[in-house]
Amino acid sequence: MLDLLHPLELFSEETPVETTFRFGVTGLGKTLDAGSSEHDVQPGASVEAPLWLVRPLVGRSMASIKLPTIYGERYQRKLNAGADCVSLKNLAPYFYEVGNKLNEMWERSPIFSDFLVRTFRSRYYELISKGLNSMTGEEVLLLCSKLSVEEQQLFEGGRVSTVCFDSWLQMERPAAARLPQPRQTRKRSAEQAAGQPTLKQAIRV
Amino acid sequence: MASGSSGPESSRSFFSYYGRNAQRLEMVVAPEELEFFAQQELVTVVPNFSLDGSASLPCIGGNFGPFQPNMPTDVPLWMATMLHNRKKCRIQPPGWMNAEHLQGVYDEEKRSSTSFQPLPFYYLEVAQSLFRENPTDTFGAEGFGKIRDLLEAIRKVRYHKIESGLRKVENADTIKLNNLAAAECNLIRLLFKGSLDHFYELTKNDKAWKEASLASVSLSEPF
Repeated sequence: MLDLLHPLELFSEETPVETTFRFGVTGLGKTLDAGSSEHDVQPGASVEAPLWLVRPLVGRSMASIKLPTIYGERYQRKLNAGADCVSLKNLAPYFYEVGNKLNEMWERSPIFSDFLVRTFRSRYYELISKGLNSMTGEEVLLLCSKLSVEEQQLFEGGRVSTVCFDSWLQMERPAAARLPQPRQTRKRSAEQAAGQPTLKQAIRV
Repeated sequence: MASGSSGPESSRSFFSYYGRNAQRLEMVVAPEELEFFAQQELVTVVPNFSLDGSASLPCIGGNFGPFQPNMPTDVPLWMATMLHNRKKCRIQPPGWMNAEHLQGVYDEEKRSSTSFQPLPFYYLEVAQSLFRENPTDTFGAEGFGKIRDLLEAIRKVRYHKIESGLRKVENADTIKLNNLAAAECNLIRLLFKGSLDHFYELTKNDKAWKEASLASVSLSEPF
């Protein structure tokens, strides 16, 4: 189910997908492609439409989609060879999310989902192999420059947990959270009883 | 058949697993909260005061006491630390918190690389609370350092095992983690659960496709 309140999921729905319209659409030409000279989309035209628009169109068999190049054969070969070298952050920030959704409405190909799982597996191993709390800031930056948004969330989850846990172990608690110490009133009254001058009396003398 | 926009078994978004706040991920349960839960664990204290003869102290969690000087009694951890701070009692270290036992646990822990040794569920939290205020009164100056170092070593060995276990995740399978303590569960909650969910979502379509293709053999296509 689409959760429109989650910002990242909304962004992922904006991913453009190349769509071939089987029927013409009146008045949508300039909306889908601002550089278009025509107001209408002609039958058989291929336009880049956002994912959220593609889903109902494909469901009603009014359009057919072409997989984005990142899922194409060339990138499949590249990702199979060494998934951890490819920087998904710039190429396809929502690689798994969009891939999974396309797979769902496109053809449910076992080969395609196998490819997605294989990519995630090798990249997940890379993400975790260094150990979460032994990484230096430089390594973290290097790693984060390659991760897709989903992987970034996963990684951040692990980092946040270890950082919270460590700071708890070091007893770094905010001062307000500490228990108030019982005030030691007895000592002062004992001093007074012994006849030692208090500050007020001393000033008066 | 073609009317459903995204099929009957529509998949969840990967982001729905991480809660609403995308900018700042937060732990579902903070370590401090776990320490709060651990305050219900019972420890034995030796009070040095008496409370109205033999009356026990009624609390929501049960009746505790009676409190008589030099008579050991079981109280929750929060009460023990409170009395201890006011110098009203001496805390007896729990049975598992002695150097010999912990040394044995540490050796076992190092010997087997796959299983975890049984320790109390809140062992880190209880230790943390007891170490916080005047631990030398409870454990003795020498014993405190020893026990703290042993616990630290045990924690590190266990954490190392957890990390190597996380590296073995390759599918959305069942994974056996016996004797994992509360803090350790919580430590890997976001990462471990997230990665299993990712694997599940990605493989689910595969299974759905198989089922759909099996069903379509027996049924004739409507279109």
